[in-house]
Amino acid sequence: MSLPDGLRNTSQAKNWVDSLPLSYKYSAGVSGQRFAEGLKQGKILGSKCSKCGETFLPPSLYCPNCFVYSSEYVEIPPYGEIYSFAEADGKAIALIRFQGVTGGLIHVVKRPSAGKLKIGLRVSAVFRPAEQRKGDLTDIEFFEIRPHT
Amino acid sequence: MRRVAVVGAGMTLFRHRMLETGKEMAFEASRMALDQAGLDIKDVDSVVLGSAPDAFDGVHMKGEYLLDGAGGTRKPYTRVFVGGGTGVFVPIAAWWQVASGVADIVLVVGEEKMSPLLPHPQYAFWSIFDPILERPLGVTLLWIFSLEMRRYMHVYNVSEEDIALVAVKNKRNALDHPAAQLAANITVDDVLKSEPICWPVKRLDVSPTSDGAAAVVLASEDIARRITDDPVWITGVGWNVDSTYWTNRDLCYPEYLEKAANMAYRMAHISDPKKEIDFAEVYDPFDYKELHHMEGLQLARRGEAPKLTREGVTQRDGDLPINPSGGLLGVGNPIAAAGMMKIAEVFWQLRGEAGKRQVKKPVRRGLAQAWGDLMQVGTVVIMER
Amino acid sequence: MESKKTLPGTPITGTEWENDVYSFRKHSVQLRYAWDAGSAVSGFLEGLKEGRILGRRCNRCMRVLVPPRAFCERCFRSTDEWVEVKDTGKINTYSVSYVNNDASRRDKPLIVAVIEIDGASPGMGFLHVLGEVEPSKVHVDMKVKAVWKPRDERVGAITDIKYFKPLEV
Repeated sequence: MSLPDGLRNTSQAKNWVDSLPLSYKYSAGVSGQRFAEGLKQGKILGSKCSKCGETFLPPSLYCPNCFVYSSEYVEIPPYGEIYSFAEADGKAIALIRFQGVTGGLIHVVKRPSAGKLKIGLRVSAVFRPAEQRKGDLTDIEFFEIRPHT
Repeated sequence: MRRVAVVGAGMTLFRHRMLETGKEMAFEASRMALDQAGLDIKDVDSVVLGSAPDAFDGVHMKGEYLLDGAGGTRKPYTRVFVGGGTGVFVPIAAWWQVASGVADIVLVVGEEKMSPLLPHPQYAFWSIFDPILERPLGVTLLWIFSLEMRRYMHVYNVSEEDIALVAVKNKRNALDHPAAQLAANITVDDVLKSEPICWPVKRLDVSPTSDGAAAVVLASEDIARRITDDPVWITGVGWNVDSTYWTNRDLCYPEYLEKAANMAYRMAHISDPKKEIDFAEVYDPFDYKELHHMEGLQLARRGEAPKLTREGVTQRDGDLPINPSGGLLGVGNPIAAAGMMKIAEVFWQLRGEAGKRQVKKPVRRGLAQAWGDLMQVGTVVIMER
Repeated sequence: MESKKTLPGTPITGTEWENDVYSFRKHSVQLRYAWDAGSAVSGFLEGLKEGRILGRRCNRCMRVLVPPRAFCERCFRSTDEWVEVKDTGKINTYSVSYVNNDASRRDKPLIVAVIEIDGASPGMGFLHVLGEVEPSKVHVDMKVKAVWKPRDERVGAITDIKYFKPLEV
């Protein structure tokens, strides 16, 4: 289209700069709330579906396979295995899976004093002292490599 | 085109804030609808979900986020969004999948979680205004509704009292709705004395913001007849969107809604909606909207809706019950779920399952309608027994 | 449906929300944008800087469009020429706002209006605010005129017009 008198060339086309500030307060959800309470007590909770028999982590109000209400929350022993890991911001971040459980947790892994990180290494959760726990994933300070037995 | 029926419906409570995440609410409503239809998630061929701006929940790609809560994992899954019109558009987007033969059983979900946005969900709507020509004026969402309300009142000489009668009716109707967030016995005087937010809109003229979800199951004819003795048929669908140049339109009449309604009436072979529609769930985020929409739907002549309200025609025991559920004003307004609540209500009313909300006259044909965005969307579904 | 006594859902009360009874997570972001005005609105803003209101005409439907646009949305073709319209108009609708966009209450009410601009096609309006008038004196169809910022304060923005005020007849 032609430009009006006064606009001699397209480099005078304008833009408008502004911002949209947004603030959020997310609720944990019904199962998220139980998970948070479990962490505060030093436990990792998953959910179990009595229809297909699978256990899920993080826990879910409903079974993702069967689409029915989960039957119960179960405590998952805090020992897992590195499924995959990556370096980010100077830290080692891993996806940790747990035996007999579908899903897993993303968390920081403490680098071993000797040797390198490898997929398949066994790890265990190190919780902060009870009085420092807030009810979120940082209640686990990190996962550390389990010594060979 | 195949015949399509609604065979089950479900919903959560509607509340200002719920503990459930969006996924959990979607699941709760979907599970209830599937249970009513006696179906397993494995039976569902396709899932269609509707939810309004991602900005409310503060999650990216909200449709994908809500997927597994709506039973859509590893299924053909679609998210649709047309602002407030979404709740009645999402069953339309599901209807054409069944009518065309692409799917036999479709789960339809409307979900909204508005509570996470601080300080108030209304804040997200800053972006509805033109960023260059309107936002610098210091805009607030409510301006557009109050400007539309004022224009309607001016052109048809409608008083604030006439409009307040709708809030009184709907909040009272909602006393009988188990999900209701703001059911109450109020008077016209209460409405007139409530604090002006953006005059002429006052606090009791507006529906609340809410968290909630609602779902229905659609099935093709032969499957519907196997599942239930009482399928409710979708016989007409219509949708229409007008431009965002809202200041260039006369806001006193929703032309786009008339077009959407006529599209649905043509399909349903309805030539005289006032006589042939037994009752309607009409979108009422504000009380004046019920009147505005009744006229766009041609359930009343232009400017005549206030008279029908005054005369009690739109009460549950009247000739043309409007919003027997209690509407958004009484039950709540989790945007996409609100329209779906109306779809569920028409379904339950036609099956005689609305309990204390059941309208007095026997009903065979009902209509659900929603509206939204920048006062530009009309969506209409007609259901029959 | 009536067989269900209560529907699913776990409401949180206002007090529980304020007191963080449940596990919540807070997060804030600031989204910054540079929106391109496009050719039509760039011309419009340039006109405002010069103290003029510009529209665009579509020579098929002959509408003079304000705000101007590069294409006519009805005829679905490019618009044809610039038209200078007046800076007076009449009120199509108006409202008195007592709240800010975060739902907090304003100190002073703000009168907002859709103003049909003289010289544009009938019904062609844009959103602006009113000034130098009491809310009770405003009415639909009232004639108004733009009050501009001084030349050296105009930057090419909708706020180069401070507000519209009643036009004494």
